[in-house]
Amino acid sequence: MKKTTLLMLIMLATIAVMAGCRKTEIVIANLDDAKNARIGVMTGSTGEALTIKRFPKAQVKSFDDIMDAVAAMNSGQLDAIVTAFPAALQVSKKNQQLGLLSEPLDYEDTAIAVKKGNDELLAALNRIIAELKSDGTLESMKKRWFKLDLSPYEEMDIPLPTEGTPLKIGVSATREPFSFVDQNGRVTGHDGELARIIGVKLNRPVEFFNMKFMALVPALQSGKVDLIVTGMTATDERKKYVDFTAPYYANAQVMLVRKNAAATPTSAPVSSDNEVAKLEDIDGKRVAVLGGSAGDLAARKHFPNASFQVFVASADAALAVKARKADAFVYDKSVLLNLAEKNPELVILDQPVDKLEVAAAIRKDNTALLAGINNVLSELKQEGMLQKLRSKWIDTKHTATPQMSPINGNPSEDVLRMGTCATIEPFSFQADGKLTGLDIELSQLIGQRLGKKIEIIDMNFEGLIPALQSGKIDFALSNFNVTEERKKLVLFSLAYVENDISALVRRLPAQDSAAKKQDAKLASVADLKDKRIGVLVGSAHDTYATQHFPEATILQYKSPSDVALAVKTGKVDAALFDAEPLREILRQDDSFGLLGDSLFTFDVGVGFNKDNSELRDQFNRFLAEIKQNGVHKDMVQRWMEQGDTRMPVIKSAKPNGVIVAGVSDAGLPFTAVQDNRLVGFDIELCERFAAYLGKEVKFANMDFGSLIAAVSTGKVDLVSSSIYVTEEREEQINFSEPYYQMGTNVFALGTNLAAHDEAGPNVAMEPTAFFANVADSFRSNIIQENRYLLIWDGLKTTVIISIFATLFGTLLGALICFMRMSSRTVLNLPARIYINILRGMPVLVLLMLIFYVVFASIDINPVLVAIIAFGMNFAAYVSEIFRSGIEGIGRGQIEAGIAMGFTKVKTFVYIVLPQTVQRIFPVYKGEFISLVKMTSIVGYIAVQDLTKASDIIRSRTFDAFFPLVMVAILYFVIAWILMLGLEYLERMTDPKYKRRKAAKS
Amino acid sequence: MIKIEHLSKKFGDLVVLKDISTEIKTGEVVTIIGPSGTGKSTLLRCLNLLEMPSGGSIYINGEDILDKKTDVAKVRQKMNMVFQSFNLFSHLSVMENLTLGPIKLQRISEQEAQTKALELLRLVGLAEKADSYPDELSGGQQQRVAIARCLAMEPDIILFDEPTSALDPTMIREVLSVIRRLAKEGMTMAIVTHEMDFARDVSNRVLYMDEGLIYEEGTPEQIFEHPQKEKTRAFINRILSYTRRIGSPDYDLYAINAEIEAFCEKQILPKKTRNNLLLLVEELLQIYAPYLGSIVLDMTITYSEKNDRLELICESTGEQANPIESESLDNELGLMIIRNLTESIDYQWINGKNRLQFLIKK
Repeated sequence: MKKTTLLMLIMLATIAVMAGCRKTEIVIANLDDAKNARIGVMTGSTGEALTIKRFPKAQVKSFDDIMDAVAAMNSGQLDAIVTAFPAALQVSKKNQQLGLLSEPLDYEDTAIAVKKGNDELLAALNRIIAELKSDGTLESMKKRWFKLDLSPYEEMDIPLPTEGTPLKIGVSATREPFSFVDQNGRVTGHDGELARIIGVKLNRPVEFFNMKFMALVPALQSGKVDLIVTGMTATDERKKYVDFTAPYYANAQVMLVRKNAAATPTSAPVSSDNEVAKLEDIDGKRVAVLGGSAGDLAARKHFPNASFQVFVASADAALAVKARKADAFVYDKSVLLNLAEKNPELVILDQPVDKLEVAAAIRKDNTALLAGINNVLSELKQEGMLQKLRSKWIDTKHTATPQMSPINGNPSEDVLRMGTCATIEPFSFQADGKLTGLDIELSQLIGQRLGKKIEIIDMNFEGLIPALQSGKIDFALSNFNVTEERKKLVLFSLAYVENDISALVRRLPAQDSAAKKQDAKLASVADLKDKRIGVLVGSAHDTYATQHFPEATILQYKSPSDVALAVKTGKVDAALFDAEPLREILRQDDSFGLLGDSLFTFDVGVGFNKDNSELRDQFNRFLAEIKQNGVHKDMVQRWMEQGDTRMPVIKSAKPNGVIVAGVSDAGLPFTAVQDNRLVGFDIELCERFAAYLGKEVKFANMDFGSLIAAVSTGKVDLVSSSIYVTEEREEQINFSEPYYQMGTNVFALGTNLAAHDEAGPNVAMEPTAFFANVADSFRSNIIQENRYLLIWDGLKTTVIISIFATLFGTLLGALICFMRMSSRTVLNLPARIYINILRGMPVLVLLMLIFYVVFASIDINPVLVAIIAFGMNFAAYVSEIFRSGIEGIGRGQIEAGIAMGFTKVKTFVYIVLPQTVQRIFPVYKGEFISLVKMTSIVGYIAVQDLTKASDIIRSRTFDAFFPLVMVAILYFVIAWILMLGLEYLERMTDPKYKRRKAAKS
Repeated sequence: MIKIEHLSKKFGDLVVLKDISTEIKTGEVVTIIGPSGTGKSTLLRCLNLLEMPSGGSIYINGEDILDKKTDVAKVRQKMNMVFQSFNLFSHLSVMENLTLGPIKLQRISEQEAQTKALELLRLVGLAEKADSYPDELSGGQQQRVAIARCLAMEPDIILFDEPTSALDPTMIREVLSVIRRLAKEGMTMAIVTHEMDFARDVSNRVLYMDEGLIYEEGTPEQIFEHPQKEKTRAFINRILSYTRRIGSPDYDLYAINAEIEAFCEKQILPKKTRNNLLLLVEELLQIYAPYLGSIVLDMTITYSEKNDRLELICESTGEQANPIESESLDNELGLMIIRNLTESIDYQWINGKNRLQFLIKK
């Protein structure tokens, strides 16, 4: 006994020590460092192929799921992980010790996959995607789902149709935030929402099929699902098997590394080598160009030593510069202006690279059309129309897309086909679902003047000239720069725009990080005057800061969490914020500190549409009431002073009507999302008001900056989100009486505040004891969000599959055994073939064969498929076990039975079978337990069993230890209990046992 | 009750039963004896169709059991078998072994079956072992239970396939006494056995099987006291022999020597004995040599296991004379050798032949 305990102790100690050991790790600060590193990739993903190609000397390990790779990295087995940006973002949010490298490996399109040939669905989806792009839904979805912080997600409430054939959607719901499972087991995430939107637009209910990523394409091909919406990249390889819609998200493959020495995305020391301050700097660096464009030619001409990266869309090229993949983007200045406008960190160099003319391109022999177009252009030039067009589209810095002037005139039957590449703002691009831009408007004018109808064909830029030459299009208007090379291929009209070719580069940081250190500490508000200040875009702080700190750099952010993050990561030195929500932030994050006293106070009111004075008056009456009867005071006490976040239940008698309230979750105490619902002072206020009106309230959660617009356009009935009453705003909307006075404070990182230092150093995190970790782990993995329910469901599924597969397999096995032991070849041979095939095939392969091939187009419950597959496998083994048991019975017994007059059948039943069963029990038990454990692979056919439940939990918590250990224990428990059952049976059939029992009693 | 006509059985090319025809009447106890591998068990097993005959017919109570339409199982119920290896049902207790058949086949109630079973167990003397399991019993006990199990089905005839061959001498007696009792009570039985004394005691008729036939049959006295045929005799006395006819002076001594050596090896005779025998044969042949042209010499070497007697018999035709006596002085040495090797030498003039019988010294 002593020896065994000693041995156990030694083993445990060894394991503990090994767990703490780390192998030599490579520190990765940028992509090149990963040349010889150990890199984890996702099996079958685009990142895998990329990594192998780019780092041929690195050790590349493939994983099925990101959390497996993360576990490997955390335990020191990997130096980096290459995966898609959303997944990497998620990981870095949950694992503070990991961060993303700013330089991505590659860009890729995320699109929806449909079965090859399903053109109808493809077209419908493309339509929907275009709609969602132009009305801003995709953009807002992106914001809501790809957050930088860990605050809960707000999902759009989408009422789905309940009738009709359901749209079957394949997902791999372990990739937060694209596709994952929430606490109720519901598929959610960016793509979950997108899928539901699609369902609504196609007016069909949706059904989600959650399976392993690699099982998705087969599922699509076999018709098990109709489409795949799960953050899938449209790779060329995949395009061979499925059709992809237009991309709905521009994704990138990025590298996750350990943060200790690695660069965090925001505070990376900038290597000044790649910065471009003037034109000459470009030569020898990395230049982005659009293939075949004049910018391309100009750049190559002027910068012979540069390396070039060719893109298809200008937005991609700009992104490359932004992400440090390229150093300059050389293109038409008019287009660059737009890009610079949208990306404040990019700037256009003053000196242009070249000057070029823009003209229409026409097929070489179509001199008639050339003459016609030239005529029109000269007319337009004389009339000054060309100049007007230019100033409208190119010269003014505009924030909204200009509208094209409507064209009068009789559309004739004659059609002129025009080709264009609609990705070049402001010449030819898509807005609000329509083609628009200078070239488009010009084409309309040309059509009108020539008395022809213009048919516009959108294609890739490089395709335009071939299309012209082959006659597919008659002319092309697409910001065509006139070049010598092109003149050889096509005819050019008169120039209608003269253009600069300029270079778009990264804005150089104003201050060195070293210099910053010298005057780091902020002592008072006055110190802000030349610093970087963060504010919420469109807020009163924005106005205030601009007015009061003219020399400071004001940086505007779209959401409060962005502001906080900016302060935290050092993008700004300080930020202005509402006092009350600021209190919440400070409460949660003690790395911040207040600077000075409240700057100013403002009235906070509820906003109403200017025309809806009735509603406003009702509200004012309501407000007066609650102020009088003390409800208002109670609310203030609860939300502002006590920090109580519980929402009271406000009952409304049968609601007759709905009132829509626009809110923006600026944070507690006014509006926030907690446990998937909106809570806060403003929320309660709205609910009370609605009850007062006898109506139901629906909330529309949006960006702060959109609130005013929403109520002034009538999209919502009122807005309530700690909105300051300002003069500017009062021009657009009506305010109620103020319901609160709000102060504004400045806050910054504690380490930057002089005062904060005296308060004491930031207390470092105490080393958490192992057991505290375990308790924490237990809570987050099991208790949180009722995750144990997931486990319970998975457990039930596992048990059901195990038991039924066993029953089915045993019966089938008995049949096979009978056939196998028969002397007739017609029975014997099929049985032997069956046994050999099934024993020689891995169960996983069998499972997928049955699901995807045998039951390909049949709608069958995958649990049933699992039972069949495992049953069949089990039967092959059981039949041989039976046979060995039977053949082990002495011949003599059978002879004795026969000699006594038993028929063969009776001999089998009374004499052979009881003995056989007794004999085979031990082996049978073993095979049975084996089966129970084998069921853990059913995740591949979208069955949510115990193992899958643990996968889902792991994909949210990134914890490796707890979910896995727990599931292992559960499997053991299941096996043990079932084994007890079997042993009971065994005992009952053992004759001696009965007697021993009788003897004892 | 059982009539067998021209029964034959082949296992592939091996013919075990050539042509068997006999009868077993009601109340008869027939024992079947013979050397191993001569088809005794096969014959028995053909009777209840544990082996399927290759030819011939078997009538049980007038029913041709080889007819496809016969319900063989039903026939078997009335004809039970006791095996050499007992074959009790190991998963059942003794009582259950006895009651399984009656309950399942004869639809007798459990109560009744158990009562009867107890009686039978008393009969065989094992009533106290009713709840034991077969693996808890000795061999003799198991066999007695097997017999009781047979009796439980109230058969018309019981077939015994070497019932005591697997038992050691102490246990043989218990089983044999049970069988004796059954015989006394008039049960029809067919017993294959090696227990000669027992067979002699208990049977009405003895069949000696050899060469795939019923070589000889008769009453126990006939077979055991006065076996007519050579092989029967040999068997009864458990004698084993080697015979050689030498008709000319051109005999192959080496071949004879080899055959004699083989014979000795089969009998596992010690080397010394073998060498003596070879020498003796050689000398004798020398003596007979001058006459071999005109006489026929039959040489037989017999070995009796029972008595451990090795004998050499030389029968020669020709004038009545003792070849050894009329030896000339030339072969004095040979004679001396012969005399030294043998314990006794007998001369007889029998059936017109000169017969010399040598008993070889051990």
